[in-house]
Amino acid sequence: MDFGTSDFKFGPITCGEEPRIVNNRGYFPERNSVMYRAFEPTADVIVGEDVPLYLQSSEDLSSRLVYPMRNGIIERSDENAWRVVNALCNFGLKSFKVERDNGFQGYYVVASLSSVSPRYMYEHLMEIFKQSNEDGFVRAVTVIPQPFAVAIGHGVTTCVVIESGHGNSQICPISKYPVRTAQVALNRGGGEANAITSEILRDAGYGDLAAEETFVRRVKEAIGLVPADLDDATKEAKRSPKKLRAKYKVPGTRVEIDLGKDSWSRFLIGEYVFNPNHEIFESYFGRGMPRPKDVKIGETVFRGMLDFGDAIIMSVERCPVELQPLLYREVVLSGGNFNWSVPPRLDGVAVDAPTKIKLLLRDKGIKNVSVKMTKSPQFSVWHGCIIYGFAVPDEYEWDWQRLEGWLKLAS
Amino acid sequence: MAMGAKPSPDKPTPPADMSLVLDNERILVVILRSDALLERGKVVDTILGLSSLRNAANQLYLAAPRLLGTSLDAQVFRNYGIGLILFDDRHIEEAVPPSPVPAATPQQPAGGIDTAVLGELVTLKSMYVEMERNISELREQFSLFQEKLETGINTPKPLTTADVLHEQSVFTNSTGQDLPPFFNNNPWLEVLSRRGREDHTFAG
Repeated sequence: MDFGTSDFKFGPITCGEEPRIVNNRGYFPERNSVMYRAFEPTADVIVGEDVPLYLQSSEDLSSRLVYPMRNGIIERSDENAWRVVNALCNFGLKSFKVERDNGFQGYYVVASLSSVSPRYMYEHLMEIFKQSNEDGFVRAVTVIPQPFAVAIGHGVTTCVVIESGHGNSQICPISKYPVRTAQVALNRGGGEANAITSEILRDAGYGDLAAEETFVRRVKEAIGLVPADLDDATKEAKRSPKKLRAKYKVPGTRVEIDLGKDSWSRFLIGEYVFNPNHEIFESYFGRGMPRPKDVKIGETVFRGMLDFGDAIIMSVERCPVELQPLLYREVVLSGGNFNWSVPPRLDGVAVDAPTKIKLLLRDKGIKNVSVKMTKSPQFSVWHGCIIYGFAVPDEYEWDWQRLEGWLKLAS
Repeated sequence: MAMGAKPSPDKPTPPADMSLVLDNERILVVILRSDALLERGKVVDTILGLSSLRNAANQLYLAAPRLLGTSLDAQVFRNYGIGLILFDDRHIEEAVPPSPVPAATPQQPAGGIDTAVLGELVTLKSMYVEMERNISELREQFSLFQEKLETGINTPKPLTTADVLHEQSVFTNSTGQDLPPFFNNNPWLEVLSRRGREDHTFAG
């Protein structure tokens, strides 16, 4: 089970290459609603494909529709979020037919959480599986960090995995085990790219559209670029405005944006994700755009302004010296926030995520680096969970110090 | 017949297939055909049958396909005076000439043991054992060859559950299923299968 910030991916090995996917969210229906009364008894929390059936008005969404892991972490006291996770776990377990007559003795469940999840999240999740095991669907459960699962799914035993999602990014060295003491977390993800896109749209005169999160995300995906060098890319954009013109029309509507002479600002979107320290961003901070701050969640400090190059170096240099060259040779990127494309005519001016990371490291003196996207960006965490569950021996018991092993729920 | 023998007016004494006359001597020929190779025991049976004809003819021949010739010890035929003819589609050859069958000797007194017959039986038994062994080996080689032709030597076998290093399967309800492609050549399978069994220092 992969508990991502937006999606919950789950399924047994018999799913093959792709798991089932539902939104990582739950809806708490109003008991007086038509749907609730028409289909009683209904669960307290609706999850899965049925959620849209229960949504009534947009006013409902803020309080009743809960995304428990928007930033990868659930607060200990957030009861509603934990109820959603509980419902999703049960939904996942019961979504597949089991042949009890065929000797089914319960699943070995591998759940995957953000690498910065505090210990109480592991405890809470395992408690959920213990309590909901009346039907005997779970034989044993374990929890592994998502970057570890990515390394397993990618098939590399010594590497640095960089997982970047909507809310945050995690840099995790792996050497047959996660090197937990070397992990570095950034308080920056796809949400920051949305924020700078919103500012750019405001500056271009699209203030009303800039407030719609879904529209802003679409514009980001359509026009956002990562520059090899921001200053060079900006000059090129101003020199060749037609080549770099940023225009986007929402399909099926008359809504269209055109940045015109400000099309160079499309490079700010990608640059801000990888390195928010360029002086050009100070003017945006000055006008009220939130500066990414250092925050502490659980035991982990999420760095706000550290660029990806410095973050990787900081993480690797916390590992034994002998291991460091091996880690630089296998840097694996995972997560939707690394999904940047390069339009054909802009090759060399705009780059993809692996190239940007390499350039950032080169500027800091790290040369022998290999950076790749994970083989299956959407499913690598789930693949890793499946392989882990298949290969780890049954007798390897859960240990709260090493945070690995099987917690047996059935004899 | 090439040497002037003529078919005998008498019918051949079974199990002989041919009865000839040459210079007033009766010649019996037992023919071992190619399909005798496919029948277990047929070869031995035929040879044992030959020995029963010792007193029915002056000369005895076994005619066998040349293919079988390599597994027949010519010296044994010489020892017992049985002639051996080897043939194929194009050629017939007298590999071992027969010795004339001696005049019938007075029978042993009732209750006695014919030592010559005993000796012959021992020899035939050893010939039988050796031929059985040769035929078994040939059958085995043929089966292997057939198998290779059917499966294809270079076709890669899909990775199955049994191929993976794993002492105790965690799946109680799946056996021998092909694993998804992301399992192929994944070094983590071996690393993870040794969890809890290696001496290590936790990096974290």
